[in-house]
Amino acid sequence: MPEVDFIDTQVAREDTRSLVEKARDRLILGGCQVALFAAFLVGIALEDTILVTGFLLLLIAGAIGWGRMPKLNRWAGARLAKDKRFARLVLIALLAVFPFVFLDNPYLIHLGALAAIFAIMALGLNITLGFCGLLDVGFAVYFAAGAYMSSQLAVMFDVSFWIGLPLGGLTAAFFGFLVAWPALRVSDHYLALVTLGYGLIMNLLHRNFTFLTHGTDGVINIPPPSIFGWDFVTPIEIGDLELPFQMNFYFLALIIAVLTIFVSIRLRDSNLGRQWEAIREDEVAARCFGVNVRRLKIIAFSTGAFFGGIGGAVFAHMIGFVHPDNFVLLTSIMILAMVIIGGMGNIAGVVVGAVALTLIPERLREFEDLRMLLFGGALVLIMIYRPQGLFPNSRRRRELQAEKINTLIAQSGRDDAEAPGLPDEVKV
Amino acid sequence: MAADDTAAIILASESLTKNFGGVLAVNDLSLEVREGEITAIIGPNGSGKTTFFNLIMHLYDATSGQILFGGERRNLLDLPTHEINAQGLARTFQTLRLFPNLTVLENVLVAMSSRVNAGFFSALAKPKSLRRQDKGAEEAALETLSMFGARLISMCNEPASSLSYANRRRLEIARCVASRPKLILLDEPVAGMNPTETRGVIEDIQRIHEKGHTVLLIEHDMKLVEGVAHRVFAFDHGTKIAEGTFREVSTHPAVIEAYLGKRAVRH
Amino acid sequence: MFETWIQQLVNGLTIGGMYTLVAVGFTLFFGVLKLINFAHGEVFMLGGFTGLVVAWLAEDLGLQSGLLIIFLMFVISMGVCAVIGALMERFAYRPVRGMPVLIMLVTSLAVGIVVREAVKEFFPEGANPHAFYSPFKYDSFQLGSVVLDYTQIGLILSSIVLVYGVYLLVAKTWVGRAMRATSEDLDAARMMGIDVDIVIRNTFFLGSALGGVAGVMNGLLYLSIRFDMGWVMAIKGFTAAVVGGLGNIYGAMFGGYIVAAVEVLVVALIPEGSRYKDVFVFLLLIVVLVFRPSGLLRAPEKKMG
Ligand SMILES: Nc1ncnc2c1ncn2[C@@H]1O[C@H](COP(=O)(O)OP(=O)(O)O)[C@@H](O)[C@H]1O
Ligand SMILES: [Mg+2]
Repeated sequence: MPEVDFIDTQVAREDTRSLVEKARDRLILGGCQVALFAAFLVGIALEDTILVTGFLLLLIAGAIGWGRMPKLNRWAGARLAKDKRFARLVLIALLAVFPFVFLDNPYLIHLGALAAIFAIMALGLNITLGFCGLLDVGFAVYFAAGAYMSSQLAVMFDVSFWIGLPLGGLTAAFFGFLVAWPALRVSDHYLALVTLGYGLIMNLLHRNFTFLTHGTDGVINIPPPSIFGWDFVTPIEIGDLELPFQMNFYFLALIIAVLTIFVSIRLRDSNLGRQWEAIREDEVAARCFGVNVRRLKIIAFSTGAFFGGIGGAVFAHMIGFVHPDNFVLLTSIMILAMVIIGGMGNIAGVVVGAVALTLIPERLREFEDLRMLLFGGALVLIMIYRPQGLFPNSRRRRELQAEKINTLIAQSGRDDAEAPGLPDEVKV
Repeated sequence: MAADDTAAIILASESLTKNFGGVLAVNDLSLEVREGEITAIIGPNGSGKTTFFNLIMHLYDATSGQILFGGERRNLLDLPTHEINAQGLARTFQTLRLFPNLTVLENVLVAMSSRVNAGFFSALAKPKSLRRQDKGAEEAALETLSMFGARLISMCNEPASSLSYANRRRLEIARCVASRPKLILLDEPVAGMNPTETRGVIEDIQRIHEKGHTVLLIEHDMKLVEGVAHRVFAFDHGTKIAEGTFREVSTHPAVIEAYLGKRAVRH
Repeated sequence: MFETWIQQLVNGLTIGGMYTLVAVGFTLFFGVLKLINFAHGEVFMLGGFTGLVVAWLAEDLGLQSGLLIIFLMFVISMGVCAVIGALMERFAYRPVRGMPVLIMLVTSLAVGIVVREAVKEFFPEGANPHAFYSPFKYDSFQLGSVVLDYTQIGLILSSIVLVYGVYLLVAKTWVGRAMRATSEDLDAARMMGIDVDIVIRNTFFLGSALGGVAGVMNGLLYLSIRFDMGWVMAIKGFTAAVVGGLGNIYGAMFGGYIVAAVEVLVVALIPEGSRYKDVFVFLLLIVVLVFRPSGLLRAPEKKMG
């Protein structure tokens, strides 16, 4: 019996050790997250233009440095992967706490809401482009569809935002479905041109179908969302503390963004998601192995568009004003850039891309039009030096039953005795 | 190796023709592939072998003729490509067409597309039944990979692009096997390999055949199919010029002429 | 009635000539680089602004002859745009050559933004429209009952001459042959000993020069230029190129006239047509891409397997 005791204590000791280790790892991980988040917020909240610019330059330098250090990338990735759930919780907690720290800076909270809205849309495009590989250069179409649908329902028919929101999403999904049909017959450059043409046509219609969109007058006086008679522009008061109303929109957008991330993850990890990726990698081979390319592309376009529409609806009710100039080609390029700069197919990366591309230009307002020049120049440089984006989509390793694989290897019992293969490119 | 003319016909091409703007890639081709055999198609480059496979998978519309498959003799040219796999056909590609950024395992999982649930809403809800199905598919995929020794399975979590050339060819074959086809089509499965690798892959093919798969393979180097194929078709200019055992076909004057040119026959 | 139709025909031929000049650039670039150079519209815009600067300088120098000034505008903006185009190629497109379509596409969109914004910021009063110099703007002559505008006739003739010149260059000269070989198959051309880099540079010289001339023509015709006029022209230009078959140089030469015909017909036949003429051009683009992706001239099949 003493032996058994001994073993038990040993197990117990190992348990505590691993617990201690885990706690230490979490402390480090959480600490890093908090520090990075705080540094980012402090920087972005700086009042002085020169300081903000300096901070942004620092940020860009950091991003470049990050790209240059694959080892650090991998190390951080492994750390994160070890305790993903915890990291996610910390991040959500940080995002929830952030507006309370900036109660005296509603503009920053407003920017946070805007960033969340663009993250929703970029995640939508990420489904179409990142997962399924479909070049959509007309994403503003869906943004517009959601914004016009929900705002006009509210303005013309007094329909509640909570009904207008899903209807806006569905309208956008329908517009995605519409372009999927011609898009099924073309690929690459041609697909890009088709979606581009689609975006331009729709924007001309936004301007000219005045009975639907009020043309270049825009849709004005869009009511804010409301619940049980309380509407979103009324600040919430807790005791004598008045929370800025921008916070209501921030949390609305944040919750929807988190839901969008959840949906993205579910789709990515499903059979559907894998078949999307197969289409992206090699459509002909996918087809030969039973992938219904037509169906999957339609779903990819519609789902991506749906989130574009959801973002549009929230946008319309937050800003209160919708104008055709919101939905020009440049908007599509912006959303496209968010996805590419973040890292196509990488959900976290796309969110980072969306946040960066919303906040940075906003904080550079002082530079007026020069910032578009900077944006264009930066985009060229990124395409040249880091086309795969900040966080390239590395393969997610599956957590497989290691023993199972080992037994299978043992059973097969044959070893790789052959010479290493020929060079990669063998022309036949 | 003898051809067994009593075995059931699994695939029949009837007067099949494919015209690419004046180039008759396949020209009035009729042939029958029998169940349980390894059948080889040989023929010089450009003789229409790959085009025949592409027609079987309905990647092109045929100019005329039909391709009948299985007991029900369904015309494959009436089906869209993605339903042909479910009928029991899978192929490899002469110019490797893996999904390079998917892992080795995922490449195989994609090949099971006809059998898994890829529904949109079930992907979101992820019910228990789906989880069980996914787990089963994963196990089946690992099982398939293990048919190739440790070569593939030890790499199962790496992107397909990190495999050696020979192992990429193997993964293409594994993908076929995983989709549980009645007939496997292999387009030059040993092209570009050195003799050792070639021997290895040929053994793999024979093992797959022993497990009960019917195989139709293309090879332009005639000698390689000796001892492997039960039945050989020789192609030239898009049509069948000889058929029979390897010995019969390899000594057929039309075949020698196609491979060596006219003068070789005359002298 | 008859007079209006003649007038529409003249309009169609005038803008068709400009579209064709722009389309030839798109199709040349696509041929050698498999790139849709979205920044090409901005080169067209730069051509217009260069022409304007030439006119200002000519005025300072006291040049009197309208023809001479137009000639100088053409030549100098061709030169400037050729150099700008080649610089774009060298510093933006060469580094991304052979990368995935999306990367090349976004690069060219971004280059376009840079050029447009640079003109807006750094050209004097760049954000506002500028009146263009056009010496023969009110001169016309009568042919029977039809009144014809000298400028339009001049533009039609000069675009035909230029396009014919391009045709000769591409079809008959060594430079053109190298371009066609590179379009056909870049690797094969390289193996045949063609210096592909030089061919691509020449292609950008040529295509951008034509875009620049079109920019001057646009100014002479509409008498006003703006920093953001390139984009619309880009769309017309690549629609014309697509109609002729992207990469097909001879196709682009008639594609421009087809796009112009669609525009003129929409304006003439549909009430409020001028508001929707661009919609129809984009529809033409989509329809051709979907149903005749290799253009209206020919339809080869794709290779698989
Ligand atoms: N997609 C296509 N378009 C035009 N011609 C083709 C196409 N595919 C094959 N061909 C032509 O058909 C003929 C047969 O080609 P293929 O079937 O690839 O021959 P093999 O596989 O026997 O070497 C060749 O002349 C080839 O050029
Ligand atoms: Mg072949």
